[in-house]
Amino acid sequence: MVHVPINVSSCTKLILYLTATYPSTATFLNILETVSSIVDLFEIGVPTNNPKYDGPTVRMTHRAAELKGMEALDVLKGNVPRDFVIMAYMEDHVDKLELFLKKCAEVGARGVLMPDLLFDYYEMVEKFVNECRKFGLEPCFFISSKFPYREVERLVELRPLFIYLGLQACSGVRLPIFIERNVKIYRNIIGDRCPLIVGFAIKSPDDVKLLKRLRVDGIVIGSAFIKELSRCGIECGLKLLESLKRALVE
Amino acid sequence: MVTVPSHWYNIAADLPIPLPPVRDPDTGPSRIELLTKILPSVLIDQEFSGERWIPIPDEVRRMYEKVGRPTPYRRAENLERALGLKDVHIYYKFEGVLPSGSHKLNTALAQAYYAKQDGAEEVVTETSAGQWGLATSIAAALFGMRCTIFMTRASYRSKPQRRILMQVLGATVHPSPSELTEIGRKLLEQDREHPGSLGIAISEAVEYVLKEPEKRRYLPGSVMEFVLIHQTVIGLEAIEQMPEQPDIVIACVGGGSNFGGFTYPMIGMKLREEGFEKTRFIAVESKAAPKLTSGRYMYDHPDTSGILPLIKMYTLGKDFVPPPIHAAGLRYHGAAPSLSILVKLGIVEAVAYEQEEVMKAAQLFARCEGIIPAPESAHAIKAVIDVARKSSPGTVIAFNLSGHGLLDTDAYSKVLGIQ
Repeated sequence: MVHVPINVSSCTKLILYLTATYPSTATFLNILETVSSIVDLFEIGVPTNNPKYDGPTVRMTHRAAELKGMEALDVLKGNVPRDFVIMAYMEDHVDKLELFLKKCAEVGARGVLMPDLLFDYYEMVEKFVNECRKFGLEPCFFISSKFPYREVERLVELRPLFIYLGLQACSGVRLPIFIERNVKIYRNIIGDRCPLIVGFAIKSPDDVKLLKRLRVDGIVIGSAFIKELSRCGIECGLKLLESLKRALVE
Repeated sequence: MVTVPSHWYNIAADLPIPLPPVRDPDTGPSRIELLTKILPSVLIDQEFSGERWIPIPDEVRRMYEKVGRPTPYRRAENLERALGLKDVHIYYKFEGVLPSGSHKLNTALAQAYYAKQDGAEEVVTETSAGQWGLATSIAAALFGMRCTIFMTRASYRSKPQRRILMQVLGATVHPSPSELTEIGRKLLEQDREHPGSLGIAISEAVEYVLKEPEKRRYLPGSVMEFVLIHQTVIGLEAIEQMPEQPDIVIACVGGGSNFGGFTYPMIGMKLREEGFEKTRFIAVESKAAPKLTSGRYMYDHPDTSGILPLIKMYTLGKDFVPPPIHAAGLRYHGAAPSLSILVKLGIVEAVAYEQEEVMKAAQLFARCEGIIPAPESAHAIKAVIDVARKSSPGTVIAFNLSGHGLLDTDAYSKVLGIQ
């Protein structure tokens, strides 16, 4: 497995979001292999029946994934050629968190991101961090574009792998939000103490260039890739990632 | 000399826990995506802004001055005497001096300004008591735009005064449910005398906008966070005007814009440990729509037909139709997400009152202070009286008198038996 450090640096990383076993297990594994030379890190979603904070494109992948939950996780073991973090909803695993995190570690995940943790299970943040560390996983945090400043400070103190700022209201849907302002606010609060990655509705080289100028440490591509995949297969998805990667390294 | 604030305040930056994101329901098209066809674009940005202080555009500030901001902050000495209070001081911020007669104009001006910036020709909204509709009509007139209002049928009949004023200002006013929309027709089929509700009127307004989204923009009167943000001019001015820091701050709640507008700048200081450390904040609602005291904290639609995205709030359910009451502005099933969090965390206390006791308090206030309060605002007055009577000497109470009741003679005549 290729290990690329996720840290605060001048080099913005390209992160690809995929829902495990979408559109099928075989194609999913093929995608991982095909794009691994371009992508720095994978964010892999555990298919769920209730992808509550996701937009329509990612929701569709959860519904259409071949396997669900832990079964989909099993597919990852030894099959992800790059570092990856698991994205899962706490709602699905709150009653068996330890078991779930143990599984994440077993399949080789580097970290775990639970987008509903800070909104619906705020009292469980420290438990989540402790359990992650117990299994050698690095906790990751998702924050929205209107997250309380003091609470961001608290998250930084917990030394996550990264803090993921959602630029839009949900994944894949672009609203007229002044993302430069929001990124600057949270970059200023976090400073260089923790990597800041961003995602939601990023789809063009211009988007990537703008975000790079804003000194984010990673950008996550999800819905745009899935749409390309649906439109004309892996080749189109690959071309999109190549164009975004070029914009990142220019 | 107090001036109009240069910025609005966004409490999201200071909340002890984050605001849960808006959500799409499990089925149907993305309601979040739909927002771009409904709302002025800057309002969407403000709804998702991480900025603590949001600059007020110069043109909006000039409009605030033009309509009479800053509004006065006064001491209710006669009320204190009438209650026999010993060294308990009561102050009120009076939004009723604005031409709309209520605080609603603070956000109507901002929203109409942004709608015009988007190239919209017509603004569309809902109203119950008519305060929001009147404010929107004034804002539309000042910015030279057409205005269409869906007014809950119960109020359309019982409160013709504000409806007439809206029409004088050039607005077109429809009783809701109406025959103009699918949801309206469906409800009228079930009950020709349906009293309507704010949730239904919102649904109709949104559906109407979606028929011509390039020309029309929907302006919400409460609940959305940007509405509360605009209303913070009230509290920001009040802080500058206060001769003494209050121990207890009170305001009424329909969707939360009046409460948030008055209290959030103070709650923000408390959360940042910059003042108001010992201040209690009390939200007062009607027992006819007791979402904060009897509702559930959950994701729900702000509108009855579920066109808008889900928001997490205290709610009685989107289909809840409150009984017709005089404080029609409080007849709403949910409370703004930020207010809901503050209540859930115990930072804001909530109480609910029956109409009769509220209107008696209103009468007492009128006879003491010479101002006839709106029935909505009278809920705050009732709470102030109850709290003041139990307070120890030295206590300072402040409340927001969000509107006057000069157009609510129907309410006063019925409840107080005045012919």
